[in-house]
Amino acid sequence: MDRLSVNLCGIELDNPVIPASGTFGYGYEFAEIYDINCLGTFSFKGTTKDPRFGNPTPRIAECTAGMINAVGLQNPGVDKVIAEELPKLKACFHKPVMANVSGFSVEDYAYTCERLDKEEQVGWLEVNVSCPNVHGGGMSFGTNPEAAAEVTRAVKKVTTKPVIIKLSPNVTDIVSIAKACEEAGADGISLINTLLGMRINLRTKQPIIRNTMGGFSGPAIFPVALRMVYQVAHSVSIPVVGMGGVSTAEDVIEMMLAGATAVEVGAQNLVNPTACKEIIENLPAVMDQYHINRLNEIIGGVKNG
Amino acid sequence: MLLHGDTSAIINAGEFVNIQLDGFYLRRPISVCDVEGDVLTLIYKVVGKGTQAMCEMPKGTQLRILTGLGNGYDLSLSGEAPLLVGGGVGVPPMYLLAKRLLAQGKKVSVVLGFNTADEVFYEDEFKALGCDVQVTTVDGSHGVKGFVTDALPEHYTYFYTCGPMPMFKALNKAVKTSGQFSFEERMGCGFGACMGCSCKTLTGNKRICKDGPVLKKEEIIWTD
Repeated sequence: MDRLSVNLCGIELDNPVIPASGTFGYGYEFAEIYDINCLGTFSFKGTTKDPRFGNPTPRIAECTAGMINAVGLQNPGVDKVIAEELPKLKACFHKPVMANVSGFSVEDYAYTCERLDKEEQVGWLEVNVSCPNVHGGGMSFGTNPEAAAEVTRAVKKVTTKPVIIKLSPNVTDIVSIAKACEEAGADGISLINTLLGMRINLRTKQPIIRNTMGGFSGPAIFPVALRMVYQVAHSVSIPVVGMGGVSTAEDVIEMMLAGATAVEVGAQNLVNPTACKEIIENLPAVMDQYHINRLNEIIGGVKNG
Repeated sequence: MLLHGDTSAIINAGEFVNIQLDGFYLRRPISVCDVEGDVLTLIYKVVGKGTQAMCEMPKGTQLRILTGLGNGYDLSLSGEAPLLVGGGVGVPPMYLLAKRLLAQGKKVSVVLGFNTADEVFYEDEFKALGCDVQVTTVDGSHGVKGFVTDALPEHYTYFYTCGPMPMFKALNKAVKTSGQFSFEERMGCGFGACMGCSCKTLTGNKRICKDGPVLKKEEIIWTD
């Protein structure tokens, strides 16, 4: 077994590095830049039952060590994703892919997951109950343990593939939500989605984001994400996928010590399109530096202070 | 700003580059003004801390830049006598476009619009290329007093433009032919991944950074 490999919900990954949904499209934009088969897998663009244009622009605001986005789940809808995007994805990526799904009702989630369950290349369903940029859906399911559990149960009924629930940090007690998802049958938990944030343009005195608020991501949120991954990983017995501000091989190792089985990389792909490739290439040397033989041996290995 | 490096990815006039700057999380997208061999010319206006930092960089600074981004202008539709209209920071991409069109033997007319005489740049450079150049200033301190729409030539076969949205809207009403507009939007990645700069068009949703920045007149949906 390779030094970098890990097992995520029964599927072997060559390495734990996974570009996060919404920062990697359906893969082919990045395949023009490097061979994306070096990735563990990637989580494709959040897909909904119906096509969505998303929010008005500006959707992007720069921050210190990060950015705010309010894209609002722009995607062509699950029918077109299956008919047009997945064939293009398959042409450039030859491993199981993580299908990221969002919705506005429990039925939406179940419908989209049932459709994607039939796609051979889909290895995992990552169910996003944490999008901060849409009203009447997304995050509203992820801020309430019972609602998150209801989505989990509905999705589990329509698929035999591992279901990973992606949680929002914009809650008082993320552990109670993670536990509710685990009890409802989730096979894994991924966290964190973006933190709700805001910027104001001093010249116009208006919010930079047309939608006023958006999701804050980037290196600035890494300590918050790491803390939440640590809390959740020590409270559930299913695998945890850690994300939030990860931008280096060191960050990946830190997330895994906190309890992550695999690690997603988001915003960093947008500022450096080869970020994930570089992280994977850097991992062995960083492991040597910290006397780590195999990555799967350090999951949750943080010592008590 | 003059940069030396691998410019081979820059194919069309109207493309842009995305510059990484120390201390700033997102890159700065800047349109290509000219490319000649391994020399890339960028002209930008200082509008915030990022562009301020760019103009304070000492000569010899090395930058990490993504090049060859965006679709650029489609020259095949220009006809024999294309009109180029640049407003303010929209002037630079007109320069490489003018060079390319002149190289094809086209008769190129250029209208450059500015607020005031202090802001005027590249008038002589366009004249040196052999373009017919008109300059307008809003306050009349240089050239024709008024807007670019006050100095459009009588005869042209097609138009290309880059500039601010109010100019686009006025121009769209004033022009007599089809043409292409190059748009601006706040971008995340600049290469089509994040959907941060999407816009609706009559030919479907487009990403300004990847499917644009140049859109054809016939596909643009104008909003108030």
